Amino acid sequence: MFQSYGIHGPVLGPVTGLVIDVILLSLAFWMLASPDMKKASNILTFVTLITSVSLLRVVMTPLPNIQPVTVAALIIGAQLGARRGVAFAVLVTMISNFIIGDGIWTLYQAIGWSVVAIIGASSKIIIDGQLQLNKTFGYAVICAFLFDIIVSLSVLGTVSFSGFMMYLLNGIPYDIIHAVGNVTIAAWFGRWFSEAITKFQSMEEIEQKVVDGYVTRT
Amino acid sequence: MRSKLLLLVVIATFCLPIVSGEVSQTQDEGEFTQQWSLDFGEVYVSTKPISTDVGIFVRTSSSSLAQGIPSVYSLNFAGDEVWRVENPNSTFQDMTPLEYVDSGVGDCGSWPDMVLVGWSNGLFQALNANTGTIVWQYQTEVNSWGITGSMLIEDETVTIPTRQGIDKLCLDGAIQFSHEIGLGWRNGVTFVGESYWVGDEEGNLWSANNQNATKHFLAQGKIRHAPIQLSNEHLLIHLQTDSGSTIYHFNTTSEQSSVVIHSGYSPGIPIIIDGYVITTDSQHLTSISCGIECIVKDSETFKSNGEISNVFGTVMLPQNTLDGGYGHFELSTQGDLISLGMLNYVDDWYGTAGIESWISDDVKYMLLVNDNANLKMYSTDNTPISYDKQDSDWPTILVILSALILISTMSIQLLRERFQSAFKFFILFVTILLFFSFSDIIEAWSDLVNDEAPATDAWNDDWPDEWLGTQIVVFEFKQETIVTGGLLGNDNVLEASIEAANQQGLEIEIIESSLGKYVVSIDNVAGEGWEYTVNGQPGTVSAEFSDLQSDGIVVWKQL
Repeated sequence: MFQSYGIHGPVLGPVTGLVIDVILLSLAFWMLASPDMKKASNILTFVTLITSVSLLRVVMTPLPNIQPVTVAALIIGAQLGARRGVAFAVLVTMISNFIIGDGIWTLYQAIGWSVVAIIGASSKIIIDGQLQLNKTFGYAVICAFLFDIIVSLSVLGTVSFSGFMMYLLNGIPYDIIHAVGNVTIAAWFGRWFSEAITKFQSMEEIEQKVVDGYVTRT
Repeated sequence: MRSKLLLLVVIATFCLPIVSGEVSQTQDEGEFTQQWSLDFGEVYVSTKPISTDVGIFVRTSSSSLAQGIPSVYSLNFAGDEVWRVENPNSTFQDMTPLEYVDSGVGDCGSWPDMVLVGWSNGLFQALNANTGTIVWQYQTEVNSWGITGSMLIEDETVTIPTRQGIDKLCLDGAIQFSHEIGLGWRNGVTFVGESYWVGDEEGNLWSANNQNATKHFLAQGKIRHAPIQLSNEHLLIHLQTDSGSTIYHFNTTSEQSSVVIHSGYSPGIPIIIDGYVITTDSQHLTSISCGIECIVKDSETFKSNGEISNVFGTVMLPQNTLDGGYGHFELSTQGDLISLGMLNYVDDWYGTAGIESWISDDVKYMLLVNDNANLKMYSTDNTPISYDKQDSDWPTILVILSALILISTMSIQLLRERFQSAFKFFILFVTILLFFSFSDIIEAWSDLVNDEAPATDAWNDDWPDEWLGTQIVVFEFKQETIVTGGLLGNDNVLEASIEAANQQGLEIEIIESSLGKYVVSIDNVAGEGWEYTVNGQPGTVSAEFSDLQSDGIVVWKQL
């Protein structure tokens, strides 16, 4: 999305674009290729999460750099682990960018949110099934700046180092509103989102137990 | 409990100025009180409103109909609209000051009370001051644009600087003479000796009479104001040059000129106050004393590129920056300029329009307006007449209301010791505040961190000279390049690009995005995207947040 804002990343040809899409999709499915993802309910839960967050991102596009995906990736990483967090980040980026606009930035955004999910997985922001809000706020702020820096790397190669630094400097207000937006989303929806994922997990566990019990009896 | 109350007071104190900022426009400005304000919308007001016995007259201008239709308004002294005349064809920034003439009878016939209007599409109209009906009108030539300079009213005649000529008409509309001269822009007319004097865009002074017009070369540059008449039939000219400006003293008899001083870029319109010539530009406000020769008496650092006003014996002029406001100076009997500070208002922004002031029944009145097109009347009468007559600013009211609700809820939650809940309302309030002020923050930040490159870096010698000093937009397609010059008054890259696209009949597709407005395609060509440069420097923010100088050159390149 940096075209028409001024500095533009490398221009992608159709083949390069396709290759990147294939790599990202392969990465997402490889990350999802775990035994529990063979269950239809788990897949359904995951698809629901991806679809709703993608939709939310598209709907919130007019708001300046307020990115619900960052907080979602952080919490999903913490709740479901790094593998599913990365898969979530990659798929949400690809689906939402399919509507908003695709390009080289898709790769960097996917990497950025994957890094956020990995940070979430190792952050311990969920203790005893409860989202620790204060800790989450701190990570949400750090992840906003980190994500923006990773995405800004997409212009490297088209501008000099000083140009890149100026680009980062110009982006500081965007980073700040991203960080403030993250904290707001975490404060208002963080616990609800985390508990919703837990509920899905619990239902899956109950259903699985029922299925397992039925299979054992027969 | 006391500590919590204290905390509440601290937060309320922190939040209060944000809310009361909008309200402060009704507070006293020194001895003056705002009587009313009138918002004309997205258009500009670039010239001083005029106050007459009949009422108040003000003109708006725009560079595209999407902004609004350029119009002349008649208002009563309570700020109510009496009539309005629109000209949808005049979208090249109107900057010819309005003139009012009383009804009369003479050798030139008869005419009613009239408001005279020169439009940038070359149309000159005499409007009935009481009704707005057209008394007569006269079409002048158009070359990119039409009339942009100040007219000269004499007893029974009006002399108009047209785009490439000077025309004199009786006040009943009969033409007395019409002569062709050089291309002009904002070039007003002055009568000195037996001739009418007007400048052009190549540094020529022209003297015209009933028989002919004669050219007198002053120096390379542009004369963008009515020459200032001095004693002994001399003139003072503030010439705009490529490297700034130069003030000249010109003897109309001997045709000799001398340099008074070199000064800054983009000169404004000089004026004589208390016998001193006051000039302004992007760097200096200067007072000059002229006798046999002209001597600079004082100079103050100030940026103003429009009209200077004599307001109750003091010098007032709009600061043409994002911060806006008005410079206020006392002119001493020795010609020293003594700063009285800045006069700031809630809607301060870029501005070039002068201040209209008058005294009636011992009450002083002022009419102020800037590029925000929000006309305000102040007076020393302490009883405000009414506020915001038209188009209440509902979005602002809603934001203030939401902010108040959030602050109140936050405070209640604090008192109930629900700190986490209080924080939720606080952070939501901060986010909303950031959202609504984001464009201003981006623009201010961009101004702060980016050095402006001079337009000369991107100038192409193949372009016509009349484009110098104006905004230029280049669309570089893979197959062809389309250049549009002579654009005026656009504040940012996107505005200029839209105007250029409109002029060229190109469709420009823009969508909202999280980083600002995003140009998807130009003339239905999306390619791999479009990127822009300003004066050769790559843009670093959305085009809508990238400020554009009056001579900025924008290049859009298809990738």
